[in-house]
Amino acid sequence: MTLSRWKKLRPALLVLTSSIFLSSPATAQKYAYPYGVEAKGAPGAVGVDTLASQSPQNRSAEDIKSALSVLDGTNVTKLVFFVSGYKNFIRAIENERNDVQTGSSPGSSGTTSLVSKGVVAEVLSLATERGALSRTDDQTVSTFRGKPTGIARLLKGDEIFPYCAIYDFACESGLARVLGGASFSVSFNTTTNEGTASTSTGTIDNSRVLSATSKQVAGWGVRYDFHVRKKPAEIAKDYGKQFTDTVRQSGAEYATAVQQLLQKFPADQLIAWQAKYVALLQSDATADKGDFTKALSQAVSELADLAQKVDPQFKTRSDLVLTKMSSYFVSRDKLLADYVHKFTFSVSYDNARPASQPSQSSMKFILSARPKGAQITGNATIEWYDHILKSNVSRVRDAQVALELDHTFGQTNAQVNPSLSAGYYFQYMVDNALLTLPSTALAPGTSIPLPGNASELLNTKGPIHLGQVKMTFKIKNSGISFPVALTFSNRTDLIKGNEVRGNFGLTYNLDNLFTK
Amino acid sequence: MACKLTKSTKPGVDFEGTDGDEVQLGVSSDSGGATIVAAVYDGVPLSAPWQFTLAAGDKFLTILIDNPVPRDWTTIQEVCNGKRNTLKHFPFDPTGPTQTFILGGR
Repeated sequence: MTLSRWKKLRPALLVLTSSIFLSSPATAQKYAYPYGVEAKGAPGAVGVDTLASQSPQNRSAEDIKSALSVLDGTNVTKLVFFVSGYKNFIRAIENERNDVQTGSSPGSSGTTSLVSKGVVAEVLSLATERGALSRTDDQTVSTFRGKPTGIARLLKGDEIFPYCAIYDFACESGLARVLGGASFSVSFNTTTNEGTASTSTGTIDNSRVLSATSKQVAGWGVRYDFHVRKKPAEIAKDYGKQFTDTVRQSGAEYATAVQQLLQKFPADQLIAWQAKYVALLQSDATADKGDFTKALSQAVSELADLAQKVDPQFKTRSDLVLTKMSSYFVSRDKLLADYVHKFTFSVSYDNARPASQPSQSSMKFILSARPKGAQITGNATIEWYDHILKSNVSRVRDAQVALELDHTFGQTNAQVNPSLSAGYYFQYMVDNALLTLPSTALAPGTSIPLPGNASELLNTKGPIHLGQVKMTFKIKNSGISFPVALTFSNRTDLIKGNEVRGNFGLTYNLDNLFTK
Repeated sequence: MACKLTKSTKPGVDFEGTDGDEVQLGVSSDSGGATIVAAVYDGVPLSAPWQFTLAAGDKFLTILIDNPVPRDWTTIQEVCNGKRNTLKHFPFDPTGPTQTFILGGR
């Protein structure tokens, strides 16, 4: 990039960076007060936020009792966050999600992904994967994926993963929601000058292109996820009918865990605790908002102590509520994703830098849906050469479509969650492939010298069909996944002939690290 | 059937009724979207139409509600032969979606 071009871009980049930093805070479920039901602007409601703005003498005992009732769901959540830790809730939510794209794009030289998934990590993910799908150059590639808003939140020290219920559109600011859809990726070749483990039965000896030095940066990309939501009134209509038996079962486990937690509170001590805080919140000692908040911190701490004294298993019960609550929230959000969103799709631009070929750009459309018990992801891609050098090949290199079905097995509380994926990928090479070879090079398989620094690889135009079966083993509470895939194809982009390839990887969703 | 639950005057008990009485639960909201996802009475999960028999002694009833409109005014009711007896009227909190009651069976 020239200096003048950089100067032109600089103001736009400054605006973008400032917007990301300004929009990064999220209110989410981070309540304003450590304990107590909050009205949060609901007309006519009285919560601790309303009481805080009243003078102590005007705070009615009934309103205080109602706001502090441990039987109210808001207070159960606040108590559980206090006892078991809010970060553990966020980690449990992360554990339940399985639709995060951590690896490189399907067109990369090292990937296990036949399709690009519908969601990326909130901050950063790292994946190291071995084995290409449609490309002939078979490499080990490490990919970093990240979200600018997540990174900004991390740098600012804000809440990184504000959990928002799928229908809670006011949970984040409009700007945060808009910028939250953006992400980027950079892939690096971690091996150079490697041969291939190909089992090609091809008739043309094109394998020498593989001996070329790989570029260090294998590719980069930017992506935007769109979630087009229905209006609340439209969602409310027929809402109850959306709940399946599986989600109701998950809800029943959550409600049972809440009841088991609350049953252990000693009734007489709870009444004494309530009376103490009614008196304190009606006294001048809590006239100041800071003192009022401090009194609520003390209230929740004392409540937890009281419960722990009579029930040594209280912390375990609290942890169980947290786990069951996360499981219910995620299963409900997954179930409702297609009902709440009119449609969900992503658009990504990727730039690939394969060995011995000109760099290539691609535009990809990603559609994601979650029917019963499975996830379906579809991709459509068009790829073109950034430069065709002095050749006569078509600028448009290829077009791709792919479809993948994922299903997760096992119990939600199991240590390892295996998921099985099956997919089909079709690529049509619009013209013969273009190579960048030294001017002294000979055409592949011949002794004919090639003109200039580019050459057309004959007989490479046409369709590529790929089928893949993949198992991904996700280890609970670690952010680590092991994808292992077997891919069958009729050819690769440069070599005609059947291929059977093993692809494997190690992916790490760094979001998990930041929730510890 | 007539409404069975009445507000309790006993400290620590929300409502009371006669043990052996049948109670049916319902929910409504301003948006019309509120729904009962699950309900557990005295440790036993209930199924739709969310009906149970009142047991003797003080027992816990936990109801998990969902509502796609956060802070929408939501009402948990006892459904009784066309009538509705309000148990709780509250703005829905998506991250605290349970409501628990202590019911006394006399």
